[in-house]
Amino acid sequence: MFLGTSAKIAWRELRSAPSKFLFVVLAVAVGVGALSGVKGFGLAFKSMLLRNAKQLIAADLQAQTWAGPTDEQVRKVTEIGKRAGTFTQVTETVSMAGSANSRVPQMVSVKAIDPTVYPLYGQLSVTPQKSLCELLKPDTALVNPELMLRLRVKPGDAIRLGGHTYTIAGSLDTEPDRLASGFGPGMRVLVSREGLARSGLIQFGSRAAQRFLFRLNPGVNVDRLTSEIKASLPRSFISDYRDGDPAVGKGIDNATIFLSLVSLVALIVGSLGVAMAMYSHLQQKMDTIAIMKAVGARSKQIMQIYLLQTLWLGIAGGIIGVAIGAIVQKSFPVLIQRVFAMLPEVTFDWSFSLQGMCLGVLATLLFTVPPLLSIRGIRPSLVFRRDMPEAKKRWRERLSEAGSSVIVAALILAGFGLITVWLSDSWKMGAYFIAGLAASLLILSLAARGLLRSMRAIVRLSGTRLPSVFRHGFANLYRPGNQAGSVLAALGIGVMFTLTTYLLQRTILREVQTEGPGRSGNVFLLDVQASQRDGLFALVQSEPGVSGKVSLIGYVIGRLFDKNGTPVAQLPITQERKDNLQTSRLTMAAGRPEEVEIVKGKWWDPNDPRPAMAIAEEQERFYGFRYHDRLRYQIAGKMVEFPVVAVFRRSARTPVRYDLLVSSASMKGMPAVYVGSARVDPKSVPVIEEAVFEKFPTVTVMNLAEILRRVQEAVDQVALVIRFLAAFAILAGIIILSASVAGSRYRRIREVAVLKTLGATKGRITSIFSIEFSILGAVAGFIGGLLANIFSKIITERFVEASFDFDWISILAVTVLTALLANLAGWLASARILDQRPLEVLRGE
Amino acid sequence: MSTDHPPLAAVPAVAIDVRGVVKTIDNGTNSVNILRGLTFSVPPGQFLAIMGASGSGKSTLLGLLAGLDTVTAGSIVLDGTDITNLNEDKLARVRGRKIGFVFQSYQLVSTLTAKENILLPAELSGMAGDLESRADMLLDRVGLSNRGHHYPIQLSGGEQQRVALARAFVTKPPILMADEPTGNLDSVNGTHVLELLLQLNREERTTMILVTHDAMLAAYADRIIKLRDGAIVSDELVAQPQGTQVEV
Repeated sequence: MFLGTSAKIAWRELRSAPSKFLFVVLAVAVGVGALSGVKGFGLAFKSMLLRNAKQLIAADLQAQTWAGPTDEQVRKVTEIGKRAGTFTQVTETVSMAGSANSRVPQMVSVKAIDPTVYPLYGQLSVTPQKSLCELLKPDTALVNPELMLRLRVKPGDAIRLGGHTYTIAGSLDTEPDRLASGFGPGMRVLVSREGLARSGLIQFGSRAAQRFLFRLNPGVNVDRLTSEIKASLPRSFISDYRDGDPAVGKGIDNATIFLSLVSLVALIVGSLGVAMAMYSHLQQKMDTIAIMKAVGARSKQIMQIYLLQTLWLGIAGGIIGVAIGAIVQKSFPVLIQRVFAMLPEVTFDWSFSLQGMCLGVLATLLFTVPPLLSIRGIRPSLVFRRDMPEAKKRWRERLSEAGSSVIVAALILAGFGLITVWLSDSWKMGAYFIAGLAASLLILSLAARGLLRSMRAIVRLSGTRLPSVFRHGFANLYRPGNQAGSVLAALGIGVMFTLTTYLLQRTILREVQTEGPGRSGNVFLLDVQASQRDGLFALVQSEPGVSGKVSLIGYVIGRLFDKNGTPVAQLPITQERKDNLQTSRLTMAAGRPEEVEIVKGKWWDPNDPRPAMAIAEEQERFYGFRYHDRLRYQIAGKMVEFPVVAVFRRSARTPVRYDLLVSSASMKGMPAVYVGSARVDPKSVPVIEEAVFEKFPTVTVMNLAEILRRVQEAVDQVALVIRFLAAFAILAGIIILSASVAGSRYRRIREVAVLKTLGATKGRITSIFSIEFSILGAVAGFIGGLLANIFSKIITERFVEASFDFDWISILAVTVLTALLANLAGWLASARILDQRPLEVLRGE
Repeated sequence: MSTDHPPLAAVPAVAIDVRGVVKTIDNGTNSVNILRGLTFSVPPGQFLAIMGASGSGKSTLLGLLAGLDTVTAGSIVLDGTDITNLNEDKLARVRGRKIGFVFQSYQLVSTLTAKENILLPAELSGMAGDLESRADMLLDRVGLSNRGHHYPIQLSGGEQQRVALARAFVTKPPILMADEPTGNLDSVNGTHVLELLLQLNREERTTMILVTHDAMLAAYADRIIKLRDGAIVSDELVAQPQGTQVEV
């Protein structure tokens, strides 16, 4: 029965001060907007993948493998494919292409197809518009327009690939399965399978992805077929039309989870704002609450009023948030268009908008539990006198209140933990996220408490020695009703998130630039055959601009047969690891490489022809390999048993990562492939590329600067999206600051009136408030910056395995910037206060 | 919501029984004794005035009698219910059913209209029946039948206090408590409000506790208790209370 009256009071209170609640609604809206936008786009992308699944893999089913399949494996898969329907094989690799018009060759992504069958679904867009059979002959190629531009060629001209000439039959504009390609967004050269065979690019040990595409006859059991293929190609990655491209889909899932969590931070900050606004609102409504209690209202009846208000504010924020989410969804394709060639058409999705809205309301309600519970503590005797002395509570009461606070905090954390688990579909992620967030909030709250105490102490100890504007500015921070602590937490969290993103982005790029292969060289030489090794070494070493020694590391591919007589199938490791052991890279070394230190055992004599192996210490953890084990490998059809004579630890970054080192002397006559690196003056790189391409056309020269450019592009795109969402958290923080200032508006108005009456100028009052806002912003910026550096250090050292130096300049920069932002937000919310006439205010009391 | 109101016929022999009530406030640094062991009882239908200078403890006593605050020691029984150890919610129920309030500063809910303010205690205590008619009747009785849809801010002080009077009687409470009901009003409005209060009190047959420092006002009571420094200094029955023609 009281619900109607509650609703009436709730609605009229909201209506009477719309500007006060506008901030609150906006704070929730930005959080909901970010969340529903990310979720909605993720869903749209996944649906697009699912809808166009057949086109995306150009087949009903695809088996992809990076491990060069044996002839026997290809024969088996072909047999399965022919039985199931139509079958074709696609090979993709990276190489160099050159032309007569351009001296410098370009790195290209070569794709070889059977033009009579490919694509099984979807269509290629080519110019001229002819069939692939007409265009692709053994000596022709379809070429990406950008490559034509770079090589200064046009259709009808020739390009060179692997030492052979191909006539450009036309331009290749789009291909349906580009997203499923294993070689990223390189410039494409499309050749026929005969054309690829002619090029000589695919040799033993070459890095190439094989894709086996199937169009299935009606009634074929996809699961059974998948099992059959898996049995024939154990290390293949199989996807079918039912799950779209799982690799891309999984990536989208992971990105969606990550970005959802970033958005959740914005929502949490926004909800914190609602709680603060509600607290301030209740402070102003204490008289009304006391009257209602005096005339017989129970606490829960009053809570009903404010719960309704919170609910409506949450819903209003949610509705606006859904609209913002739609804009966010529309913005995503623009933000990531350079990473994905195919982007979904974003349509408005009610389910995610509704979910976003529910999360917004839930988050808002969770955070308003403490202020709502505080209603219980409002004494009805306030109706007589507001300044009635507050009796000190007994220890039992205080203990009970502390217990309630702990329970409420646990409830809020548990609630957000569950939301995180729901968003990420992982209990572990939920626990980590909440632990990190709780720790940050705790640190920020402690900092706030410390700040307020120190301000109070400064004012007390300095007395009148401190200029009065500072004294007033400091004192404003601990005025009753000033939510300095909450503002600090919200702004600090926003700053922390944004700066962490920036620091991680910068660290990853710096890592690639300075700690990566750049240390031993800036140019890579890939797919070097044993027969080319000495010639290539001599050529590169003799080129001007090459400093230091050119490094060439060889490896053979082997399949582990047994360990100490136990077949791989019976080893106590996961199936995935067993599959990995099917194609192990055994790196050849004569003596101990400089970058490794021996943990156990002794290195072999470089001249001893007996097999010997040294293993990296992680191998013990991953595969259970130990010192003195005997590992029997099948290499190029021969069985070789390696005793593990040493365990090593890498003390520095190596040009090529290796985990298993074998003695070079024992590998004589084995089909080895080499990878090289050289330090070259950047100006001389094109000359080296040209010289190598001239003499060794199947060798790929990879210019680190070019790779870095691509890495930077990718990292920039990802960082842009994260910053875009982290900005929502900052925005929520600013809104909260404004809300907090707006919440204490009436107190400020009175204070300004008194100060003006006593002769304070506008400038003096401005200084007082500016000091207050600056301190709040600066402390939030400093703590947020500090936390960002701590989290970046943990993430960098734990997950990126790189070093991280505290960046004090970044902390200083965010401290200053946040102080400026806080001033901006503070003055936006209190500009008109200064214009109030003192008499009007004092009379109105 | 409950609708089980005690019938008016079931009136206990004592409306209010106060035994050894002590109120001490300990704010951590100081301990202040506001009330020092008060004992008295009020029979049903009696009009009791509590007088005293500012700071004598009269408002605190009224707050304790109404269950707005809790005693440090002693007990208070209201209309047969011992309210001493009741929790906050139970006290609210008691207030809703047994007590009507009139405050010096009206204390209307600003977001509710005059009529909605009158209905509020009835709705809070889940009263059944034709509440609208009763609210209309009370509005009429206080001379505001055409002002029911006005918000407090649209009413004068005297009008607001008359709304507060109507609100105090809406649940037909057995006890009415008034804290300086004319303190914020000019003499004309004050007289009008007092007349209404006494009339309604007679008609509704309530026990009335009036807190005032105004001897003229107290002269209308059946009994006067005077407080000084938290203790009763006199408790006297008035032989011939003033009639309804009062001058404030």
